[in-house]
Amino acid sequence: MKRLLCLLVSAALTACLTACGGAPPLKERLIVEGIAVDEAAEGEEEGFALTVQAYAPSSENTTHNRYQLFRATGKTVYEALRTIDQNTGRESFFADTQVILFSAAVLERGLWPNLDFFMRSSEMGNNVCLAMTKGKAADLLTVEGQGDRMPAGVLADMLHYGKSKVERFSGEMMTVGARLTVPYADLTLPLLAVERQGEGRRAVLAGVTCFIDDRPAFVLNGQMTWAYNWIRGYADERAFVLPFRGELCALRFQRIQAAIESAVEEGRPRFTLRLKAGCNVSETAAFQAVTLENLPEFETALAKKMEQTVEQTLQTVFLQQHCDVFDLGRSLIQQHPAYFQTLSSWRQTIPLCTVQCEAEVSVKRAGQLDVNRR
Amino acid sequence: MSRRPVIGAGQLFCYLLLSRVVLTLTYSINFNAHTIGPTDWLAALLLPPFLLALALPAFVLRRRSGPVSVCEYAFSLSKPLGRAVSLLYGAGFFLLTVLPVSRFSFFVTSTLQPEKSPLFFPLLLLLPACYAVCRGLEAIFRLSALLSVVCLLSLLAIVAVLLPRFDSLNILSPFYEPRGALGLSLLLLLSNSLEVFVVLMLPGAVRGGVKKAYLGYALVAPLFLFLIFYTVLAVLGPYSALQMFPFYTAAGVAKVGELRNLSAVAAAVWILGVFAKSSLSLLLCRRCLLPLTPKAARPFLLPALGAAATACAAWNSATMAENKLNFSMPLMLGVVGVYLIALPLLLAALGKRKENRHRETPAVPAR
Repeated sequence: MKRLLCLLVSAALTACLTACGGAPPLKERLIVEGIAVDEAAEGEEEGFALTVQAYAPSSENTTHNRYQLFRATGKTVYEALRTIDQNTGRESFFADTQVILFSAAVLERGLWPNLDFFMRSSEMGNNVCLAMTKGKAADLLTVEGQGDRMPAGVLADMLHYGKSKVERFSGEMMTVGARLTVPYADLTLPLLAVERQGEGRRAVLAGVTCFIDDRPAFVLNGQMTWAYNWIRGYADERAFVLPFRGELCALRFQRIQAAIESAVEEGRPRFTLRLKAGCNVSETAAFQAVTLENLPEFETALAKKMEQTVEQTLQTVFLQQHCDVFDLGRSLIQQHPAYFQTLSSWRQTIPLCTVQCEAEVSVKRAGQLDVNRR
Repeated sequence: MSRRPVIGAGQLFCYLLLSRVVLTLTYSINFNAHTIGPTDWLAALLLPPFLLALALPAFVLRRRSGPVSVCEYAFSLSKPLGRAVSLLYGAGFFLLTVLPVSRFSFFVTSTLQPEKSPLFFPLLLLLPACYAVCRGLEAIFRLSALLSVVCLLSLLAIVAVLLPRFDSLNILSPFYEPRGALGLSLLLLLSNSLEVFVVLMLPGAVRGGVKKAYLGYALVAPLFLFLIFYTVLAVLGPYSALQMFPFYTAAGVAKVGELRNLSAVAAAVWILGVFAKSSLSLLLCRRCLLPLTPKAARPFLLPALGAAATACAAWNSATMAENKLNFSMPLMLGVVGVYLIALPLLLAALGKRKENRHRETPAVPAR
């Protein structure tokens, strides 16, 4: 009896746990790396137009990016996807999906109808990057790759750029899902666009789209994206140009620490954003524009500029638009839960809030030129 | 009848820890009708005295009965009582075999392989479990000791990899949750703390004593439960309320260099834990029902139990969404109340009464 049982167990485990049972071969899989969701064009059946970028396995040695694009329309995202599977004769496989792009037009319907299938799918990773696009989302899937990286991979790298481990945008699917379910936080998605550079087409970051509830409300660009990155503790990779004593100085932030302190005064929330920044001066327009003697003055000027930028951004985005993408509501609920419970609506409480910023800057390095030279 | 000790207290501790941690690792809203919240991690930290209190009736019974199992002691009081208690505990262990297997099958058929039949995974798990029963108690506990190290190290590794993703703003104070939330969390944890079942059946089989092993379990297991709940909340925040298997989801976003998606590790830990639990529960179920089985039918008892458990697990997995039994904390609390508190105390009281009667009845003088 024991031997028979042993034999049955071995056979069952060997057959069932070695992927012999039911797993389709690789060539019958559509390995989806990127998905673009657009509105169906005029003349097409109303609904969604889905474009998927699938990895095209090849047996030849080639340095070219190999991918295929498939497109279909449907009343829902899932219907369009199943049409693609039917047309290709292959089953979509989402475990390798890196980006999902939505056009601005399709997001006007709300984020949830676009996102529901992807959040339900057990194959789809919860850290897949989401982004909004200027123009057609499908165009982003045809930008130039880099070496063996296909367009979807290049976009994912761009959205995850930086040495900082901070999640730059709330653009991962699980962060978007979390913010959609709570009334005290709004979400952002990076805004991508296609730019012609010479003969090629490249994807560029065109701003940060802020959502109110699940619809896009406005786009942060210019100085506001600096403030957004600082508040999230993200050391922006761009150069920051500061006019100092009539000369332009370019610097790069190496680290940003941001802390939000909330207080309740006479029933009104007050937020203080404390920023600590470390930066390197990379370029000045005049020799000795920044020296050891005037370094404290430079640091003060930079801190003041940061404070002004942050406060203006908060004034516009938070107090005027009532959009909380800066985690102020989340800080308040954590630091003053008893007060938060008395509020009927966080969005209606926003106009009562006051915000201020206090920044502290230290210049770490000024390059090879000796700032001590007099 | 006392049994020769065959397992060490350390092995029992490892099994109890594995059993409890795997149950929480595989927490699902479907099984518990409760989304993970701030009170859950606090309740885990407050759990040790409640776990110790839960085991008190079993230890009270053991003081009265000596190193015999609850069924053997019931038989020593009276045969009809022994049969009734054996049947009840046999049914209890049958439930403990079916539940984890069906939950695992539900997980796989809803998350990994929706096209598979709900019969597939119960068969795949219970067939080896039947073989494990044939190998005996010692083999199962030796395996459990090894599996517990693997599982706990895997859990710690997943948590370590997830540390950079901890968001402090996701951790809210448990003291401002609605009134009764902390109590509900504690009751939920207690309703899933069924390891005392094992303690009731194995007093004579443990070298070094059951008390030490259980005390270690009561102090250490809640720390791991805290770690699991805290990690899920810190990483997923409110998103955990949308996920059927929150820890599995959290493991899915873990990344170490080029190695992505550690959810396969979480699934592997689940399989190993379910195999250990179902093997031991099946063995103890057979042990309870063996005295009730006619001698001629005894060789067929294990295959019959295995087949019945497979069928029940498949049915439970297929009807998990609408089957109210799986949502029912009151049902599980009822099981805890009857099997772990009422029955042991009743048997202890009956045993004391029998002893007192023997003392009161004067000895008949020899002629």
